[in-house]
Amino acid sequence: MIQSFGLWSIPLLLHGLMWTVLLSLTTFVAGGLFGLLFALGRSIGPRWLKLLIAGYIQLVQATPLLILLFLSFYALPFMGWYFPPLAAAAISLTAYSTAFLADIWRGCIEAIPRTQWEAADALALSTTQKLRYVILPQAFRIARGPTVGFMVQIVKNTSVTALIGFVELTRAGQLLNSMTFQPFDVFLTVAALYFVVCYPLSLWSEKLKERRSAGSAH
Amino acid sequence: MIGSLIRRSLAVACLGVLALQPLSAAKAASTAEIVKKGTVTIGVLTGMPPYTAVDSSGNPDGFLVDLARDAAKDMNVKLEVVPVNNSSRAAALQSGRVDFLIAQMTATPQRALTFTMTNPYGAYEMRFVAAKSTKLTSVDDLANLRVSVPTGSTQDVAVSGLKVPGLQVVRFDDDATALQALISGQVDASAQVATVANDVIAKQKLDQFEVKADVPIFTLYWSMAVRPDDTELHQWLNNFIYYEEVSGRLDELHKKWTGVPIPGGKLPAF
Amino acid sequence: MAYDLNFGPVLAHAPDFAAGVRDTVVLSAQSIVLGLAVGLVVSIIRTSGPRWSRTLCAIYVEAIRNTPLLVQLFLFFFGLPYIGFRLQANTVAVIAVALNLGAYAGEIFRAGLLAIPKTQVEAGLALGLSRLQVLRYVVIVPALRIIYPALTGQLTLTLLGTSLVSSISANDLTLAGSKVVSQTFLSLETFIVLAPIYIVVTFVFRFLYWLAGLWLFRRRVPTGDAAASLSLPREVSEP
Repeated sequence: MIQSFGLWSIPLLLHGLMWTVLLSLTTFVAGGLFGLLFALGRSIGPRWLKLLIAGYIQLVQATPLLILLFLSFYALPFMGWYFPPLAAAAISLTAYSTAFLADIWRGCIEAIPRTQWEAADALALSTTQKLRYVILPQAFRIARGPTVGFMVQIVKNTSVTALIGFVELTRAGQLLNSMTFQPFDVFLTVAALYFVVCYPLSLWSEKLKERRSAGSAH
Repeated sequence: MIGSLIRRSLAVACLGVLALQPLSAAKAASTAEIVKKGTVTIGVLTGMPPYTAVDSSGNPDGFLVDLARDAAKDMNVKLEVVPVNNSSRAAALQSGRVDFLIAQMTATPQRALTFTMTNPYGAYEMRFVAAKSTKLTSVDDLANLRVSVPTGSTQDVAVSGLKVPGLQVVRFDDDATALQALISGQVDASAQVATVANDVIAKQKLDQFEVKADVPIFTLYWSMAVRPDDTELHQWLNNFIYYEEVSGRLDELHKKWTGVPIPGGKLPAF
Repeated sequence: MAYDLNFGPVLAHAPDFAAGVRDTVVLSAQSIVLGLAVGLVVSIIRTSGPRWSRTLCAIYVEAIRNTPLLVQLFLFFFGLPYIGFRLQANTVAVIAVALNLGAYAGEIFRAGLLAIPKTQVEAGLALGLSRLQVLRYVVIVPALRIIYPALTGQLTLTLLGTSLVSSISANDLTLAGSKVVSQTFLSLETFIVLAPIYIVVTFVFRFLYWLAGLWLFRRRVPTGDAAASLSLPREVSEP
């Protein structure tokens, strides 16, 4: 049925927006978990682990997200795993985000001066205690700005999953367009909805970065 | 020791991955297996209004989905609809993700090498759509024009095969996007299903465009597709389509969504 | 369930992939040149232009940075004709990607410009350098060296982002891949072939950036990976 873009279209877009937000949160949590593990592995792990993780990061960062999505979307069913597009999207986005977050956080961990590590050693702290009470808290403070900044990237990256048919906001826009043939109205609204989600995060990220510059001591 | 933390986490991750067993082994595809499974997974095409539509939650609806619902009802199983487009429908079937396709596939011999097609459930006229001001009364008028088609479709094959100098074929993911490209002026003409084009032109009041009836591309038929091994399912589907047509249900559904009965009268069987 | 990967038919399309690589490289190069120019203009306006133009640029930058590239592509491709511009898909792609890069590059350049304290400029003038020499040796080159990792990281993201232009049927490697898929039905094999091609192209570009860094700065400067674009140097508060 061809119809005109109007109020009736809003629920479809909001439904897509909900999935965008859900997918972004899932990606951030899962990507954050693996990213933290990889970052730790890369800064204080054995040499073979450092190389492995570095290799993974380099490869993922040199591949377009769209190709990663297609690979998991087409490869998984052939291997016997029939996940719905949401799962394929979550898996690819997580793999992609892990690489970036691991890189950002490793940089933050390595930005902690060597003296902090040595002081922790002098206090006879175990590795876990060292990380938990001395290193990671400081690293997190440095990491806050870029991490929130990357959250904005995650939200924008979810739009690519439209191309494997996952009905998030962009795909909702495409579907709406194929029913109304009013692309300007549809995609302008879609862009506005993304802006509403991303802009506050961007502002927050800038504020966190400023606070770090102004407040860094030692 | 951080090493043990990492090792433990990796172990948990591996277990987690193993625990994520597939949702449903969609590889089963004789009717007995489907009935036993309790669900039929059907790949349905998107992006070809008015045969396809979307409800307010983004779920597929339309003529094809109604057909899918009828099939599931006749099999007495639950229905799982997997939206596909021209690019993804082949892989969806080959990988076992879906049991069969209702994806507006024309039964060409080339495709029959990879899939087994059923008797047709629908007929369509393929025509060029262009601005009224564009003169298009024979294939030669396509010289130096940009024509949009859905990627990998029979229009794609047909138009790409035309030996017209300067003709440029531009491919998009689905029929609606290809038509949109014409409306936006990105291309000079589009190869479309005549019913779809007329519907869009009427509803959107696009008076400057028309279907060029003088240049027939072809009249063809849409079939469902199954994997080559699934001969029993193939025969069941033929039976299903035959009955839908003979009982008038096929025309009823077609009229519900497009306003007209299936063009061309009785559907062929092969 | 065992699926045998069948690369033969896909590899037979090697010329199509080669053409796709050429298209992607050309598209990226054009977008990068245009985008850097836009970014330079934007950064200069935002640091030393009149109030109204600063606001305009700020709106442009925030609009681009808070909306996805894919939506921007659709808007430009389907929407531009409605306001009178009927352009080919490839042209639209270059414009959209360049405008996208321009916003990010503008921010990166601005951070670089702000990172050079005024005292440096004054010192340069005090040493008798002409304004042009000050601009080149005291402001631009050091600023460029500071932001080089972030800038090259963003250029890499732009190159990878060009894979999205296939959705508006602009020619690139991913579109070449789609064509191969629609002819061979071998989607998995095609994308397994595409991924390493992209990786190689990315590494070649990064090598070129590294060489450019050597030439520009007469010494080795780290080129950023894509994550570096997120960590800009400390920003001095606006004057």
